[in-house]
Amino acid sequence: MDHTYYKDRISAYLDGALPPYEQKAIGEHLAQCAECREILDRLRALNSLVEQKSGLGENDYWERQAQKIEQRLGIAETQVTRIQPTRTWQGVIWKLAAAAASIMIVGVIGFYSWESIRDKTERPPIEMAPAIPPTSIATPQKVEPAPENVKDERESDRAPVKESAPSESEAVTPDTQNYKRPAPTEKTLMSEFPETVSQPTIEKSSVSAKTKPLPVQSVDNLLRSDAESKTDADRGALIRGGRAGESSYQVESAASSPAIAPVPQAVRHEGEIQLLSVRPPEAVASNVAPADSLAYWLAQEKALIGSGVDAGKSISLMQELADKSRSAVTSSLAERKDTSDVPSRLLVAYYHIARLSADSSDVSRARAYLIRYSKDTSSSYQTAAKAYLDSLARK
Amino acid sequence: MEESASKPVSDQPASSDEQKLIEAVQNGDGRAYGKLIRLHQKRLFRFVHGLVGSFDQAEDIVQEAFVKAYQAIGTFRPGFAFYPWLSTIARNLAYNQIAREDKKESLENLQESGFDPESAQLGPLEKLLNDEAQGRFYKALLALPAKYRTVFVLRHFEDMDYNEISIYLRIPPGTVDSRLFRARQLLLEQLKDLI
Repeated sequence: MDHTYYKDRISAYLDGALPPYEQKAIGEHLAQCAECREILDRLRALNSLVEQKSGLGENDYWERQAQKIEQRLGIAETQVTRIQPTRTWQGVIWKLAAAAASIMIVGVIGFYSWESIRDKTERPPIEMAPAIPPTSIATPQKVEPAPENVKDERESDRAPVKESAPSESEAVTPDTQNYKRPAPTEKTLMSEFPETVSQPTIEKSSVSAKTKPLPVQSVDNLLRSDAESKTDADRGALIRGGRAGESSYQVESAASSPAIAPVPQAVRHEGEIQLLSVRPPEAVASNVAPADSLAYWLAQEKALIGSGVDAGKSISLMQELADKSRSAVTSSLAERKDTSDVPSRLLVAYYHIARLSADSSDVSRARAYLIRYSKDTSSSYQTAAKAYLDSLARK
Repeated sequence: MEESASKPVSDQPASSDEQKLIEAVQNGDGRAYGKLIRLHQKRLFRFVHGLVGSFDQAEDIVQEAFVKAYQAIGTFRPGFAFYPWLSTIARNLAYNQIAREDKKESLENLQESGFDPESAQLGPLEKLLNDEAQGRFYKALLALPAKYRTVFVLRHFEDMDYNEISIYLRIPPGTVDSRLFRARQLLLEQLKDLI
């Protein structure tokens, strides 16, 4: 057999990738051919070099990158820390200059302070003017407190986070089994290699993080819009975990609440009207308020997410919708023109499911969802999620 | 943090520590995800960088892969190792990146004559390397035509076998063999003084 035949297969032989008969044939040839053995030795040495020299070293870079990802996901405990730059002469000079400037400033202040003390001790005491009666002091205009927390919440939404708004076509959530590559037969393999390759589309969105201003809602408003409570008393009972008259839980009132989950009242699409019209049979029959009907909230959940509800699906959907909402990307998800209020409605639904359900899987699913968003600092739903969890804890 | 074990991939079960981290993340613990990021980021970066050949693109893809994995963590089935799943997401992102660039210059049409390690620029990668020999290796690797480099990286950094590579790249196993052989030949020529 041609010598080139063997040489070309030494690489595959080294990887054990040849059929048994070829593996055996190359092995036999290697035993006789010094030239091919040398090639094999060099390939082995290359493998060894790759193992030794391909590892990337320790560097501040990795921690910075990890923190960037955490920031983007809103799971960072602290802000991105500034990594201390390596000391350079330029840096030392700047530090010395700063120290000298500080000393000069302290000196100047000290000099003038000393001068003023000396003046006071040398001058005769000044006769003090009589105290102005308190009543004569003009009362300042009462200033409405600025809703700082509201502003902060909005600002956090506008943080220059690199938003990614996955499109419908993205196959970005491969099932766990997908990476398990089967070992197909050669026949099936060849049938899987068409000339034109259709790769899964995972387009990284280039949409800028242009933030849509989100309407401010209190828990009251949030519940009102979603539960459609008929009276204020109903709403109060709702907020207090369904127990009217209990006043220990201080949910933010409309006047004092921070900005939380947005529910654009003006946006009402056909799908949502249908959604709100979902009424459990028992609610109709026994006149149970929808807010206290578990079936109602489970139907809400299902209507918002679709069938096959599970915590993972709802969380990933929530994240996706929140991302879309933040980056003002319109979505065709669930054939809605605007899905920006779906996450908040889902949040409310989960609060009530956790409150009303006796089924542990319902409760754990709902709580997992709320916990996720109570920790998401980048989300405008964080405050709402926390409030709901507080409410559940008090209950 | 230690780089995770160099042996991946497919059916590797999760270690008990990683399993706990994944469960914690699924229960809403963001800090646990931070640990997963630190555990796998270096290995994932090395792999993605090897595929796309660009530091900036690799940085973006790694970040995007971690974000997407986090968003879909609820669908991750406990008991399996996290890295293969993560690297699948990253691979798809990277491959799309390559495919986009492929429109400008077909991978198949890249000429071997263009192999010139001296012209390869390591850029910011240089700061992540420990010694000169590493720099030599990465320069040679980055200078490989993409079609060879891709196969080489999948084989050596991700420990994929020929069948797995052929499925992923949708090329026959024989082509995997010949490309890998050629990649190794080119690297041997460039790095012979280190071997």
